Formats: sequence, C-alpha cells, structure tokens
Amino acid sequence: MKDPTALTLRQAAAAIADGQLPAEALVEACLDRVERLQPVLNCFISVTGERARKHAREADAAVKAGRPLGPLHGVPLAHKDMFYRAGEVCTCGSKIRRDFVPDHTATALARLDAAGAIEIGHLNMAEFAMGPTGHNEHYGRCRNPWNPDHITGGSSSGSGAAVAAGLAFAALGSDTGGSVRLPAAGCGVVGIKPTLGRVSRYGTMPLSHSLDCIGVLARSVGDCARLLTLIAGPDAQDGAASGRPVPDYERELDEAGQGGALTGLRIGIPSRYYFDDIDPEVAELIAQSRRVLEARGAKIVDVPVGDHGAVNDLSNAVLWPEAAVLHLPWLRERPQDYVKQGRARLLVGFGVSATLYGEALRARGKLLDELLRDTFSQCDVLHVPVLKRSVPSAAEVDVGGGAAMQQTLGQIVANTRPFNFFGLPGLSVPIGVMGNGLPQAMQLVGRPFREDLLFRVGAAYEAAAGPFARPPL
Amino acid sequence: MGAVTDKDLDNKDLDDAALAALFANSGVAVAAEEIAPVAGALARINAAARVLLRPAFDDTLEAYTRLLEQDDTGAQA
Repeated sequence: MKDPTALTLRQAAAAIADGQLPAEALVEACLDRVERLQPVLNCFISVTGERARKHAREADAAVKAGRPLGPLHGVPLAHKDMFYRAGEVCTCGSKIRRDFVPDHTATALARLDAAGAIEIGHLNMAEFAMGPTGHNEHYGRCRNPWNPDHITGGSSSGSGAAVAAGLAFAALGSDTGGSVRLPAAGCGVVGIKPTLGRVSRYGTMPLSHSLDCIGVLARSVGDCARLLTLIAGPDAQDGAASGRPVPDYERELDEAGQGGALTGLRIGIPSRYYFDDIDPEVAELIAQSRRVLEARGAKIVDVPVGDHGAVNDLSNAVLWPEAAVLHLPWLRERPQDYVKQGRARLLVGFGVSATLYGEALRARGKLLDELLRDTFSQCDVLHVPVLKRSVPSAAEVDVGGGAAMQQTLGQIVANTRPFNFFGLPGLSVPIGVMGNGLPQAMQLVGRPFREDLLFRVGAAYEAAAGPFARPPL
Repeated sequence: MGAVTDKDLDNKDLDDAALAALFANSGVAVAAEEIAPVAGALARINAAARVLLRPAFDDTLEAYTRLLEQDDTGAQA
C-alpha cells in the first residue's frame, strides 16, 4: 500500500480487518509522519508511541487468530488533551494541570478502546479549551497544515491539524462555542458537534456544563458517523447524558447510499445574521455548495431566524460564569499561570450577576421553541458558513487580552456559538479552498438529535464533490 | 473602592469601579488594565439580555431540557 495514512478511517479499518494492512505498519506510518511534521505543526502535547506499537502488535495477533474485531480495530487515533485516561498525564492545555494524572478514564475513550482503536498521543488545544484560535503559550501554537502561518481554529486545534495532516485517522474534541466545528473548518476536515447530551462527558475536562459537547473530527462524513455511533448514548456515570437510543448513523448512511438523493429535503438559508458582512469569496463558496445540494434534489428555502447576534452575546452570560466558578480557586491562588486571553475571558464571568445568569438559562427553552417553531417548521436543515471570513493568520488574532481581543474572537465564533446556546447539532463539511490557500466549510444544523440528517446531507455533498483535498505537506 | 450595590448587579452595566470592587470581594487580583475589556464584554451581554430576556414565570430549565429531549417533529424528513 503506497501511503496508508491517506486512507479514510473506514478504509483503514477494513484493510486491517481483511489482513491487507497490518496495524503495526499503519501505526508506524502515522508515528513516522508525526516525527516529521510535529516540528512544523506542533499538533501533539505528548506522543505515546511505545504503547501504540504494543497495542498494534496485539491487534495484528487478534486478526491472525481470527478473533472478533471491533469497528476501529487497529486504527490510530489521537485526542484533544482533555480526555482523562487513568494513570496518564492530561494537561488540558494548561500549565496548571501540567502534571495532572486522573484516576479514571473518560467514557468516550473507553468506548473507543472497546472498539479496538489505538491511541497514539495527546493533542494540543487552547488552554482549558478557552480560545477559538489554536494559540497556546504553554505548549506553543498549533499550526495549520495548509499554511503554518495561519491559525487552525480552536479550541480543538491539534485535533483539526492532526487529522488533516494524516497523523491520526480521527480525533475527539469538545465544542462549547465552536471548538470542534472551527478547527474542522480551518483545517479542511469534517467535524460533528452533537446535540447537547448526546455524548457522555464523564472523564472530560469541564468548561461550561450547560454548553459543553463532546464531538469528533475525521476526514469523511462516514468516518464521523462511525465514531459518533460508538461514543454516543446513555452513561450511568453521567446523569446529563441523554437516554435516547443511538441510531447506527453509519449503517443508515450506507443504506441511504453515500451519494443518496436529497429529494424533498428542505435546506434553510437564514434570512439574517449568518451572512452579514460575509467575505464575498466565502459567500461564493457557500453558494456553490448550496447548488450542489440543490442538484441532489434538495429544495433551498429562505427561512426567518430571530436575533441570533444577541443569542451569540447572551451565551457569554452562561459560559463565563460557569467557567469562572470552576476556575475560581486557581484564579485566586495561581493567577500568573493562566495565559492572558483565557484569564481575560474568565474574568467576564465575575461581572455577570446571578440573576442574569439564571434568566439566560431560563430563556433557553423559549428561544429554542421559537427557533423550532418559526425556522425549523420551514426547513429540515440549516445551511450557513462556519466562518464568515477566511481563516485568519496567527498575527491577525494575536491580540493579547485587550478590547480588540474580545471583538476579534467574537467574529470567529459568531456563526457557531448560537447553536451551542440552543443545544443543536452542527456538522462542519469542507467545501473548497480560498484564494489564500486555506479551506472553507459549510455548517449544517439540525433539530435536536437529528445528527442522522446532517450526516445524510453531508455525505450527499461529499459524494457529489468528491474527497476533499489533502493539505500540501 | 466602593462596595458593589444591589443596583450594580441588577443587570445593568457595571462601571469600572464597581467591577474592581467585585473582583476585590471575590479574592481575585486584577490589574487595572484588565477591567475595561471585561466592562466591554459585559456591555454586550447586557445589551443582548435587554433584547432577549423576558422569561415568563413558568419558563423553567426543565422546559428547555424537555424540548431538547422530546423534539421529534421532523423525524420523518
């Protein structure tokens, strides 16, 4: 096999299961690539190569012995360094937790382990998942594989860069305001932020319990569907995890046909906010992607939306007080150990009154009800850009902790954060490369627990547009 | 440095002095130059709150969770 790291996750898993590709060779190919590209991209905080090699040998022995294999048997993965594994350092991208060793393992990791995945390392991220750019003063900035001078998007920066660069076949991330969808878009991979509660958060670093979602980044919609099927579902360890049964997203996709028709499906284009002040080049790529979906049989409809700019701002009345409460002891005792941007954002949480915080949470039901009634009654899926502009250079967003920082970061998360407030699922799918050589993505948003529909639309787009290009590495 | 009053906390924009007092009361040391960006962010939040927040007495957190968990309309799409 010429370059096994160029396969999709599903292709790699099939090749291992068929005995065509030894897991050890695949792990070695990924580790070789990590060694070559880590100095350029800085995706990893730590690499667990020896353990991965050992697991790969065991995986190959299982194939030879004809033992039952899981759907990720022998496939190398790596995850944002905020998923706890008992006995292994988990930094959360911070100085404060540089030596933190959890005593339990995240449910999502345990489920991937049970499916046969091989973890090859811990990925870079924004400090405590508190920034959307990929900057990290403690471990160095994670760089975009399409152009290292540009940001990856964050906070799951290493997840986006490592998957795009072929260092791992998929990665877990977390999404509180866009932290899966933004790096997926910035790095040209697919990212799913599921419905709030779809995936257990047990054993993951908290940021905002009302908004945090665990998601997946991978190189195809089908790959994301397989991983979400595996990690989603009820968890006795997490009372906030939904008890709703989990569909087999991947099987449903296969049954519909990867390039299945979208006849009768209504794709909604919001009448306001999501296209305000959009870069014309982004607008053209989004319009092209819309035409692809239309050619597949979807009906494009204009739909009304409420004041989602205000929703975007209001989500800060929930996020930052919850984060500030978590970080209060460290803010008192170790204030110097935070990076400036993260600290500046945490401080906002102190200024939100308890009554305002409570009101914002109480208003969620009414605002979601309005969105479902007024918008989703007229469409099945919303179609908007992830970013309204091109992926910024690192210099453009290296703005310290001042007033400009709040504005710049606000622009980056403008189209993702409202859907965290509503708790709705969002899928980021790459749709093209801009003149500056950086990728761009569409965001598909659905009703609660309609990840299946997002995968169906995303896969139909993928089938029509073909596999997305790899970065020039 | 004045104490934070009920009026300050009544969903109004806090001025810099009130914010400084708030941080002092919380035990978190904050430099003077850190105050203005926080005030700016709070002004945006409070502006959004004035537009969006008119919850009725029976708008509960459970209503949101119920809506999220039980929304099945469109499942046939």
